[in-house]
Amino acid sequence: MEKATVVVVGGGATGVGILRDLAMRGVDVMLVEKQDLVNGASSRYHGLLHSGGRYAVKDQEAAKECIIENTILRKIGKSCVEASGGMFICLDIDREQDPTYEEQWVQGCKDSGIEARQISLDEAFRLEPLLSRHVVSAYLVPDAAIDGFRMSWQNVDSAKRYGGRLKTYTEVIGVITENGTVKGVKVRDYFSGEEYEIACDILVNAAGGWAGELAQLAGLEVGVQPDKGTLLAFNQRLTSHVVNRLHKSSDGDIFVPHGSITILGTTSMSVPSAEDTSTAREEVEKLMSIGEKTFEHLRDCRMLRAFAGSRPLYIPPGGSLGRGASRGFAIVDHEKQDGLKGMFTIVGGKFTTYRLMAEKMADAVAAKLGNTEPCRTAEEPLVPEVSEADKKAARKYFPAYGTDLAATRLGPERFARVTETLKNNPEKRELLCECENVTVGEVEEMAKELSSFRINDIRRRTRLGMGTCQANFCALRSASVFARVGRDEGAKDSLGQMKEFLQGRWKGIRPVLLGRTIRETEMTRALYELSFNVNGHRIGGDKE
Amino acid sequence: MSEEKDKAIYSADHCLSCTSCMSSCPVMEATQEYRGPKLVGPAHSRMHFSQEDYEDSLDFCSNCKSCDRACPSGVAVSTLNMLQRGEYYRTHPHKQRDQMLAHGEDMGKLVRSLPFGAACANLGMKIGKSLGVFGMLGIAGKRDMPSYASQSFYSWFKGYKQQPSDKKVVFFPGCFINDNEPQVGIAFVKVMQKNGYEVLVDQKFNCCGSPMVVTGYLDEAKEHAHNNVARILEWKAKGIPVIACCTSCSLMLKEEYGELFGEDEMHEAGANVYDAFEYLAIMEEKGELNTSFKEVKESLMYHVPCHLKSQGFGTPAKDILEEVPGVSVELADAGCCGISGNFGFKDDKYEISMKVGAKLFERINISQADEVICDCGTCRMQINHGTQVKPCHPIEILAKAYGE
Amino acid sequence: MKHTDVIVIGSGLAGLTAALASARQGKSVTLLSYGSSSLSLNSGLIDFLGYDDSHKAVKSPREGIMGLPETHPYSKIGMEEIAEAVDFFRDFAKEYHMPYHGSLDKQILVPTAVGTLKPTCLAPHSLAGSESLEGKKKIVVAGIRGLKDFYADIMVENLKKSLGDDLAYETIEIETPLTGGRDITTLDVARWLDTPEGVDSFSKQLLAYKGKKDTAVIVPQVLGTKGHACYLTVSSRIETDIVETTGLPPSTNGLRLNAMFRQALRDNNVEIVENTKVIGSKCEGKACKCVIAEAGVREKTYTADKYILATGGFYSGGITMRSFDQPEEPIFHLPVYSVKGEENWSNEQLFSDKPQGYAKTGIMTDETLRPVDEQGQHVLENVFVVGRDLGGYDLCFEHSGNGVALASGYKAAKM
Repeated sequence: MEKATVVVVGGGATGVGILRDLAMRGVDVMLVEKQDLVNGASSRYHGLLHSGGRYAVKDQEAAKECIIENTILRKIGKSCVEASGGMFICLDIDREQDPTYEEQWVQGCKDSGIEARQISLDEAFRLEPLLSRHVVSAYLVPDAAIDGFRMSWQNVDSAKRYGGRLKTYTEVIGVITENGTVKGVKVRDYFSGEEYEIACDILVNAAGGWAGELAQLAGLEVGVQPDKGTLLAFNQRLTSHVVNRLHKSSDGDIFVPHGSITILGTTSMSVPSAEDTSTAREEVEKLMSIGEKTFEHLRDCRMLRAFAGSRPLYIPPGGSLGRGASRGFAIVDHEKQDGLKGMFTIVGGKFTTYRLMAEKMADAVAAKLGNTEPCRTAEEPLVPEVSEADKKAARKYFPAYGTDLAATRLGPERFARVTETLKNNPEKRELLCECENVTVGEVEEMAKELSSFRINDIRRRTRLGMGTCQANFCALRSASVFARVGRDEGAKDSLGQMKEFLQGRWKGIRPVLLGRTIRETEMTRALYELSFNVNGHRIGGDKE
Repeated sequence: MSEEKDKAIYSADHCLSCTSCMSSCPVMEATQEYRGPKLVGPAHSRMHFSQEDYEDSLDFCSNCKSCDRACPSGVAVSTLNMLQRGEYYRTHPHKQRDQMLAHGEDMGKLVRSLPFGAACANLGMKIGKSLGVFGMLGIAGKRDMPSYASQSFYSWFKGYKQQPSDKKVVFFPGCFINDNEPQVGIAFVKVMQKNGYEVLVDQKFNCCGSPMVVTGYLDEAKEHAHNNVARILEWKAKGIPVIACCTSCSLMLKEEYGELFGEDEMHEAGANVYDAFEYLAIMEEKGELNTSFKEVKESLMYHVPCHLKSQGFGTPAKDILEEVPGVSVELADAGCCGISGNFGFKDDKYEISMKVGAKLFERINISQADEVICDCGTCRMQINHGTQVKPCHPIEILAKAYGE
Repeated sequence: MKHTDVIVIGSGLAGLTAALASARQGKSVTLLSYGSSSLSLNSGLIDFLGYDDSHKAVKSPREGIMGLPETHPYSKIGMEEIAEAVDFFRDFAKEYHMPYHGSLDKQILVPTAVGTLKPTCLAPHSLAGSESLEGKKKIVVAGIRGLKDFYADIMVENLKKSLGDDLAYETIEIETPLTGGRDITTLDVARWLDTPEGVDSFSKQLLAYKGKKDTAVIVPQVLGTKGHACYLTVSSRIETDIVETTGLPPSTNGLRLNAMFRQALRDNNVEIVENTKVIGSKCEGKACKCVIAEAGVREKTYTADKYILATGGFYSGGITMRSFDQPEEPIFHLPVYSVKGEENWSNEQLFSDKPQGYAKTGIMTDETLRPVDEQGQHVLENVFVVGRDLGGYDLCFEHSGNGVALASGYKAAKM
């Protein structure tokens, strides 16, 4: 039977943070995740690395945590963070609604240690030319954009260097207990359906929106309320800063420039299950009507897609649902609470403070194990950086504007390998994804990874298919590359992979199927359904 | 706000990545070195945030604007390319030949300031060519540089007595007509006189800036734009339109200023500028065109310049000339001539430019037409270089029809 | 104000057909065109009806069309005109050196770039897949070294499923002088094959299969840009059946067809105004008086007795939708039919067993192709709607787009 001292369940930011932290303390730790990494809220959010400005009035403790963690993550995760800076803008309607809020906010930032610098309106419009002219005041804060997937993946890379192990597409279907003590978990392989057991001394439930369901497998109750947030992705960078409304926090008032796109979010709605990542037209409408207060021309901007994820809000025993539910995080020691030895649940919190949460969790686990190693996750970078000299040397093999992005996506070792590939095989410099500037060489590198089971797994690691054409061109190309070099047997089904990949894009496109988004869809269907007949392909075979 | 969204950079958002531009790009057809329109301007506009960089193959875009015309989504592809090129040259040195090719106006002024300047300059260019000096500078050695006319258009105009009229237009000759082919401007003045118009000139106009834009002197082009726009608006206030015979000049004054720099006045000024035949066609629509033409027994082959096609008003020169007794007009319909302003003058682009033009040359060579007409000066040079035929501006034919 | 008998707005397959058919009837025609038309993305195969509403493969398009509901554009056009349009197109294609095979009575199955087969009615020799593949024992898939978007390996994987794995399959790679620069497209290779050196080199590299009657060579769409000349040369040199596939854009065959149409329009004195976007119209009562087009910085007015709207539906901006459930036709402000409600707008699956609701958005007409309102009353008497602007059919699902474009363009010209 497979064995690990600690099994962490859930490949979101919290889970990978714990994996890394414990591994660095020398603990034998394994993470199991039922899908690919960050299948839940850790990638389905707006990718904002909070300065804390958003909590400066409502929750100063959270604000302080944010600014401290913000500073740490910029240091340890340089290639995951785009230090765009943030701008808080107060609109005339905001000031009308609450004339005192701005003052409170400025004071709150000051008290929380967040540097908020007021700038002139001219300066604000120079920095963000598309801003509404209804802005009446503007401040700069140290917000940033953060790539949730890359951050999580690099945590895993870092953990692996210390012996941490990862199993994706492995779902926990049972918790094995003996005499009130956790002995292990029963898991199922997503693809093969094979079921087996993994023994452990301590089980950490970091399943986010699924934490309640996991607890149930151990016969316990953990109050988690999945709170769905819907977001919109736009085709271009509308801003160069993260732009927040300076008013009492509400839905749809944050724009985050993320690489080549902009994300607008987010709504808030209680849903029965974290599996519910559906997005409705109504939510899109709502986001648009709020968003166009900040950017009046928003409706003229091309939407790529809508997506949703669920924040896991924690409801303490006897706590209330809805607004009463805490947005902070909680650690439950089930030995103390329920008398089950060897199991913890960590739930709630926000991406920006994932490391801090992981540290607290790891402290508790380490204490149980008698491990006294200190936490070092705030000091050591997640992955070594690619040197400027290496990037410069690689420049001639990568597409224009593609070297730095590839370096941040790949990290030093993979970057060196891809550079070597492109250098020796000029044909691999071909752009497989023309919208996001990804070469055949890079896609091959990622397609070969053992954790790549589907084109979507490659997509998350490269941004393939996430740009303007939403896979119109790269679906065929990537299916071919994957069929050729992918290690998983499933890669060989090129038509199935291609259709599944396009279906993934379709899920996000459907709710925003209006305006110019329809035009792109007309092209998708004209190519794949009409020209390639992937929908009725059985015509020559069994279907008459 | 409106001006912000009107800028070319925002049009990149309309790109569907459909590849229509790639199928229509004449440079891509001639060389494998150019990556292609959609992969440069529109695609990279989403990537600029990532690092300081430059697309090497952008150098191959000739700004012929075939991509813009091919685009079903209104993306200002070539303008995005030119903006990117301009950005590059903000921090990188220009080649010596770019300095020359972008500043024909200054050269012209210099020549005019010297006694026998034109003759000396023409001789100098012949000698320069035979000695290979141009080649050393990076200018296509196989090509003749445009020779200077013995008298510039402005100088001719000073000495020409017009019939005064209340109906006035300002003529914008542009550098090439002024210095090299004043006969086109002269024909224009005579045509307008025959229609009861008095032609004014305004020597405070600069070069339109087109050669600067394509060689990456964007800031300088903007200065020219500011000057010219101010002049155009002054004439507009007096109710007098500005007319150009050179289609690259008219496109720049009408549309490209606004696209490149996005200032409100540029759009406003653009609306007061007309291409010569565009204006004549509007006169005709109002029944104001003098159509008492004399017979001109000529069959014409018409090469429609790319920058005329971009203006979207069809081919009024064909329609008007066909009304002249004895004239027949056949469209060459053979794509871009390849020279695209100063593109074909660069030694490293010469072969490409000739390859692009090959279809047109062949069409002209086998054609039975008496004469080739074309509105654009550099196209006419390219046709002459590629076929030995000496084309003229359609306005010259019209002048003939008026007996001038 | 320039006046012609007919103004056609839009230069896709429907507009080109309408313009040519109008001119052939002796009408003076102005074609207003914006963008280079969707033919560079279009396979240039004329599908009439590949699948019915329940996604059953249609064996005889003629019979399939007869069974369509009366809201379908084909029902408005009528079988007689559809058949005439087919003859018209075949005659034109023959005259302009790329004859098309096929009929309304059966499907030709064309291999695609992913190795599936797609049903169509009319195809040029080079794309008439099943006609050439019939009875073959061996399939040679010939890729081009460095060519983007043609993957012989996945073609073979899927061809085995489409044609059967009892056939022998072989993949080879053809060398060209095009490598070393940018990524290579099918159009680059086709242009190389327009040259004598290209054809020589290409044919030589296929000589191993010369005269093998039981073998077919499948290639991407690279056999020249000019009609079927290159196809004829290569076939005669290798004396083996050679078959092109459909592929990602640029579509060489669409461009061939486009070039043929453009030549025919010139030969028939159609005035083509490029780069002009029609943005509005002036109507009095039920008559359109003129259309207004953007001509750079200013507007230009065009008048005609008859206007044919061929602006290509959603894809080309002929129909726009800025807010949910509110599609618009921006030139004549015609009533636009669409299904309402999020649940009807699209299917959960992109590749589904039923048509996508949104795709049926378009303008409803009567049998003369004049636009009608919800009550079936004429909105305008001298405006005719063709191609993708028509409502009531999902062309991608049915495989009917070019067929509707051709038949409606032809019929509108006759009206």
